[in-house]
Amino acid sequence: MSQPVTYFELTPKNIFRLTFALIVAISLSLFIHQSGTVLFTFLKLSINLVVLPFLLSLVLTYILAPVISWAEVMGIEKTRSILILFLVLLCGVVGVSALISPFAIDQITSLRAEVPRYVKILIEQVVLVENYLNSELGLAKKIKITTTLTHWVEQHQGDVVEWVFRFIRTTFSLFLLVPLFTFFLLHDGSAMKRGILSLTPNRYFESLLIILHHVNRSLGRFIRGQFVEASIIGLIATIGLKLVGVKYFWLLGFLAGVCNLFPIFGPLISMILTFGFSLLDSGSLFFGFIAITPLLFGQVVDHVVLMPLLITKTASIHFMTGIMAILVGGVMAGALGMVVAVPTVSILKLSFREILRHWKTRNHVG
Amino acid sequence: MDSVWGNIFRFERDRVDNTKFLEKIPIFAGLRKGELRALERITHLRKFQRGEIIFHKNDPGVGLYVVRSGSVRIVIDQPGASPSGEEPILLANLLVGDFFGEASLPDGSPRSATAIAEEESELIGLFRPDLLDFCSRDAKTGNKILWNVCEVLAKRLRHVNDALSSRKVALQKEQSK
Repeated sequence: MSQPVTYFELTPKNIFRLTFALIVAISLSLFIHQSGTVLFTFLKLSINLVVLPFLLSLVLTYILAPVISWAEVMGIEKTRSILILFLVLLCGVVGVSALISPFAIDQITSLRAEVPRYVKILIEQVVLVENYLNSELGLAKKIKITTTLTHWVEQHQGDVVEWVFRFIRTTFSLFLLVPLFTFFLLHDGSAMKRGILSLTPNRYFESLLIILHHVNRSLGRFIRGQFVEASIIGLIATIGLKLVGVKYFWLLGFLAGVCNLFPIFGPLISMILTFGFSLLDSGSLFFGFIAITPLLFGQVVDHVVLMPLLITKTASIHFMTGIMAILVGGVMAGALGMVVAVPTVSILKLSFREILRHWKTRNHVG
Repeated sequence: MDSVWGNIFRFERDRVDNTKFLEKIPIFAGLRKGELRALERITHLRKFQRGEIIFHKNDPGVGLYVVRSGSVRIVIDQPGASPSGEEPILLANLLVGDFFGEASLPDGSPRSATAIAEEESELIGLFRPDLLDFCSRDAKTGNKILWNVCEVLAKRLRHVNDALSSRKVALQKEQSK
């Protein structure tokens, strides 16, 4: 008669045990981190060196995979089609960089030179507010915003520009690893998937196959949707800001595209920055408001046209979750960690949703 | 030859063997060598111990299995039987070259019976998600496979219809007596 084959049972009790073990492991890691040992540094380093390039390559793979599939249908061999695509992309990147970089570098250099002037204007305005408050309210203890603010600004005024430079430097250092990882993911992605599946116990094999298929499909749609959405918003913002006459239209347009990846507060941050820079540059409050109109128009297009077309509702995450993800991403992997945090959480949410859906179908729940 | 290289070459040899084996299966009939090689790349070779459940009745249908070695029992529970109660009803005993689960390929419908490995067995699995991807990449070969699946399903449907008709005739004869 049949022999019982025992594997790890996915029962609520075992899930609880696994969760408990994970919590203990995370708490231990945090404790070790607090104790100042090398574990956290090692984790951070490996995230920067391997996980981050891998995540970016994965995103790029999802964006490029349809092109490779199309080439395969056309009868072009896979290796050849990937190499041709890389060549086309390289030409595109070099061409676009050659066109844009002189303006972009000009704007960054100009911004770097202008920051002290903007800070001075800002402090002057704060002094006016401070004087008004002190004279009108007649408080016994005088408000000293300027002293505190000046002190803070003196310490941090180079930070924003440095942050932008560090971000660009890190991105360029990834230029070596990301294409390499992307090539192998595009070329051997399906073989890797088969390899992972071949290691799966029979009991979970069919479930994993179905889950991987659904996650893969949803992820592909989500990532491609986000990419197209951010590109269109970035383009609308850049053209709009140029038409309106904003000085740093390249930088602020690019920022509007990137910020659009973060739900709700991303566009808000981009608008505040655009408003702030335009106000400081022109000295006119009216121009500050005019400057954000292209961004508002972009948001209308995004919500009315792009989001219903491109983004699946299931992938959207809550505002608070987004903030927490960005904070954790920032601690773990700096600026780029912050950029990939929200997409990563969306990906995890999609995956868990698919797993739960499959589990419910398999166990005839709901 | 050391074990690493041995394993790599064995993997290649397994693939060639699988292709030759698939050639003889009716669902893959009419496929050329290149098409069979492409098809082999989307199949999964699974090994089952004696008595191991391949799938349960009502599990989500994912695809078909071909018996490469060993044998498989297809069973259903007795009507109204408790899970640990009576012996299940044996529907079929499948041997090398036989295939099962093809009904779930077109629509992913739940499994209609339970499949159990009768002895230590190797099965080649072809699954719906992989086949759908394959069809979108290589519509011509995908078409051939789907036509073959249709033929098999039509044959089985005819067989069931014939069996049902003869049962009905027999029942009517008994009632008229």
